[in-house]
Amino acid sequence: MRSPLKPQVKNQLELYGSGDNFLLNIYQTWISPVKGGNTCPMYPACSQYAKIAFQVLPWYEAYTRSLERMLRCGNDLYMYPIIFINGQTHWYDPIIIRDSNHDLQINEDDL
Amino acid sequence: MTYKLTRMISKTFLIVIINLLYANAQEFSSETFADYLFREGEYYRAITEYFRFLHTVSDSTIRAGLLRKVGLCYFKGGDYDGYILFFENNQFNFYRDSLIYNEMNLYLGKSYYHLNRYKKAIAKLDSQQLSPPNQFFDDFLFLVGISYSRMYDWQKAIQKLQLINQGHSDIDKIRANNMILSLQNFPDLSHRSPFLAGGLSAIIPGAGYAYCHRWGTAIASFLVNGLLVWTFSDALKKEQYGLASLTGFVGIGWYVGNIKGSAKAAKKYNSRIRNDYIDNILRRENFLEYIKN
Repeated sequence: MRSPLKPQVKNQLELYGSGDNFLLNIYQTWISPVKGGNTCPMYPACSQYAKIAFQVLPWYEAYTRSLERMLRCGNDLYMYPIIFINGQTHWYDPIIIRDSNHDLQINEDDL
Repeated sequence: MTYKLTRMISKTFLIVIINLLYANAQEFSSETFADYLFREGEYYRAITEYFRFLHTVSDSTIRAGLLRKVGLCYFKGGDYDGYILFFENNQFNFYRDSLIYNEMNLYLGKSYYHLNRYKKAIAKLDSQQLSPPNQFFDDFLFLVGISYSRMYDWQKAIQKLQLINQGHSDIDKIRANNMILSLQNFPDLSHRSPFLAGGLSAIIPGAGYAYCHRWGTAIASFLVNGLLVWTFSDALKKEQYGLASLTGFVGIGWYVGNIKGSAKAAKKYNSRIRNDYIDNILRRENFLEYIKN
């Protein structure tokens, strides 16, 4: 059996941690489970995307990006690469940040 | 007495020779096993074997060859970050003017290319300043050329590809010329203006997304922004200022997000069209396998 290859898609949670936001924590802990847990087709899920955005971006930037992500969520999925997490299919749409420390693997023109 | 001494010395010498041969045979078998793993695609296990072998070797030429193999394992295993780190830590084990060093730098450029860090790939390859007699000269030019094309700087890409002239086995002049001809069509490719996309979404929410053929997002954006504007204006009419400020705050975020998102969608549309075009050229000219290996 071949050795597992390192995935070229970096895990956002590995890069930025799980994030911490009071309102989003309430949503994830108390509201999301009522509707059956994480049903977001994208990865990271919209709430996680927003958490990361608020962690690494100014609030106004994070606010608009998070809302814009909700517009895109589940639409035009052919635009995003498919990844499998815990046996489920997701569409990979990371938050793209111009950050030399983390050096994301993206085309610089996409920024 | 002298005869005995001579016999003893010759016996000792023979034992030393046999031991040395045996040791060499052992080293050889280790290398072969590592090579076997390498051929079978067991790159990570091969790395362990090569490192085991490295501990027994002191000759700098053999060490350089083994380190090259380790680097290739990282590269062929798809661990491009691993290759970059390995090369940065071990580059001082190679002679600067050697072909192995040039080859390792070529793989360094390829690794950056695979990680979509084209500027870095170009900087690393250009810093080597190879001249025509070098057998990797064409490879360097080719990789710099396609890195420029990935950055959509097609003029510089063509300039670099035009310099290929050695008739190298992997990169011949004919296929390079075919690439140049195809790259000259770059400006005629379908293009979406990010400024226009943002402007359209500012006038009619979602129109910018539709302009970039993102129909689902366009409809979602139009409905969400339309509903929020309607709720906001209705709340103002009815003097419900609490509801108006709430919908206004949420609505402004969605409205600005829709404009910025449309502009970004136009950029992504352009990059998708261009990357598909370059991929098709590389596939047609059989360069995809070359870049992978």
